Amino acid sequence: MKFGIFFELSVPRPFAENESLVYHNALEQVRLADELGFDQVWAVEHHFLEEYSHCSAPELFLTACAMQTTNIRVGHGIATCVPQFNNPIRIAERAAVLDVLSGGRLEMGTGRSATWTELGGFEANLDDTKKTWDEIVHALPQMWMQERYSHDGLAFSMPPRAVLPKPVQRPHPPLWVAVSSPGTEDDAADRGLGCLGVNFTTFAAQERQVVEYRKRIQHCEPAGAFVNDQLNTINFLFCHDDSEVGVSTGRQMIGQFQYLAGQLGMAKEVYPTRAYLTAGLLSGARRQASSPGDLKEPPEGIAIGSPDQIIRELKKWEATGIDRVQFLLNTSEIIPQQQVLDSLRLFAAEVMPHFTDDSAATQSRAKAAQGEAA
Amino acid sequence: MPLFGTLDIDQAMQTAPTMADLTPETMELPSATVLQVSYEVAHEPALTITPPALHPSIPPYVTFNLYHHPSSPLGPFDLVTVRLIVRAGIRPRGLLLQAFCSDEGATEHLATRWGYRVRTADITQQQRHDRISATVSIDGSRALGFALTESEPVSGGDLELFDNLHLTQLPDQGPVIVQVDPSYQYAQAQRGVPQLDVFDAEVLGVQGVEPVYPIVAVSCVADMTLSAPRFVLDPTQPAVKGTKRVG
Repeated sequence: MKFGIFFELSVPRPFAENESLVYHNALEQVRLADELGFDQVWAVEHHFLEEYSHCSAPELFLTACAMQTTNIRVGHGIATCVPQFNNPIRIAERAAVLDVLSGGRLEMGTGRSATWTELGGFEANLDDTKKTWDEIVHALPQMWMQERYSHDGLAFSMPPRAVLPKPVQRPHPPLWVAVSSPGTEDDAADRGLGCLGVNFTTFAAQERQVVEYRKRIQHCEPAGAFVNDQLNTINFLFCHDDSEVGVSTGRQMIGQFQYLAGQLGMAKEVYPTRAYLTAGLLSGARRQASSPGDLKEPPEGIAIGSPDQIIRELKKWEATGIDRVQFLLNTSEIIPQQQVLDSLRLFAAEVMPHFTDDSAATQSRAKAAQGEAA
Repeated sequence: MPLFGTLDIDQAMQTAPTMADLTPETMELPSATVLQVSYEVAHEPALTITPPALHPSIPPYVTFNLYHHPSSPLGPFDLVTVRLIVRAGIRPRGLLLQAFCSDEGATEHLATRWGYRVRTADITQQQRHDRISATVSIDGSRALGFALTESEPVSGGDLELFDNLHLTQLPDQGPVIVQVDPSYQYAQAQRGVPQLDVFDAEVLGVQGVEPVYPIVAVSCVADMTLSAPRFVLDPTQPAVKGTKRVG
């Protein structure tokens, strides 16, 4: 199983004092993660989400990550494939530049946003985001692979042009889609896309998702030139020698994350449309509270505590058949930077060595293939 | 930490209703027509009308709601509410800023039994095939007019009408925010383009509400039930600390 780190870049008030600090702390974490052997760094694209995420230009942040590291792969988690947010041609161009500058280390996550705060801010048509995402995710690899590309669709149209530069990775970087609501894992499988889990889910739900995804992707029609059949899930990380310190510090981070997420205007809550049937990651967060005054319990399987505790939890995730886990390291700088760096070091020294093979994911693929053959 | 409201509670209580107790009898409101028009509002003024217990939503927005009740234990009546959507902890709620009721008896009942900040006013409502609208007139002049146009059917399950928060006082407790949770059994629902034809914040008594951007209009026909409050909040404490279960 591979491990990565994941950034929302949440910023405590006052923003003017803290934004620079958050960005530079994140870059220091990325440099250390690269040295320690973490496999990927992912950055979201969010707009207008006060405190929760100030990561509105992930291509710039990821470029900075790439220029300060050697091996770690850099992932758009995700680039928003809604035409009012990003012209699809510009998505293709910027991603290709990042792939070139990083020496072929780009992972291309796609998605469509789930908040009214953002979709309303860009005056996007909420009913159309699934359709335009689908159109764009099919167009991106063609823009990268074809010498000249033309398009006539709902999301965008263009006469034949050479979209330049082309990515270093041939035929193109691996494609992913963010999965935050039920059903999107089917969309991922049907299109041969990696499943970038951005919801905090349970072991049982993850296991069901893996089985269904592995089965379904056997019959996919790939959006790109190849199938990316990997499953990546999100988690929190705070590793400490003292179990109590690890758990209590980790819980503070999770509580803060859920609290900030709860302030956002989710599309489902504000604007009724069949295109958004759940409140995304908030569905889980709010289920954990039975009344407005409840303190929330962390979801199961969270990587907080001592190395032994974290190994136990991650072994359960590994057994579900997923390929990768990406970790949120902090929220609103609630954990001092030195402790975040120490947590990364301890995780790399004590936990990572227990996850050197990918046999569980391989077995889950084989099982799905056998099931199909039978 | 997200922003908290800055409403002066002492000042707000000068015009707040007094609820007799927290055990009103359940009220069945069959075949109600509900119209809800949502508008984003200016951020800074919205903070000044949000109690310190609550966070503004991002972005802040209000809903203008019409409830047309053809029958009820109080007889038929129409109710219009102006609500600011806020967060109690992480939960979205509709903070009642002001309500208007077409019937004097119902006005009295809603204020003293349910904590509505409500006054009697002339309310009209019109339901046509392509437009549902409501108006509120005070002292003979129209102060509020809102509508749903270009309607299209949706599922009742797609609607999020949010529970209500009423800033009120109890005889033995002083200022409280009472959560009133109507339940809805939907018969039909629709979505459409919102219109705000008339809005006079001063006459309505909702200074601080400055509509800036239309979001959506929804409407439904539903059997509504108003049940006794389950939660009470201290208006001066963050909701995660100051919320008490009472039912």
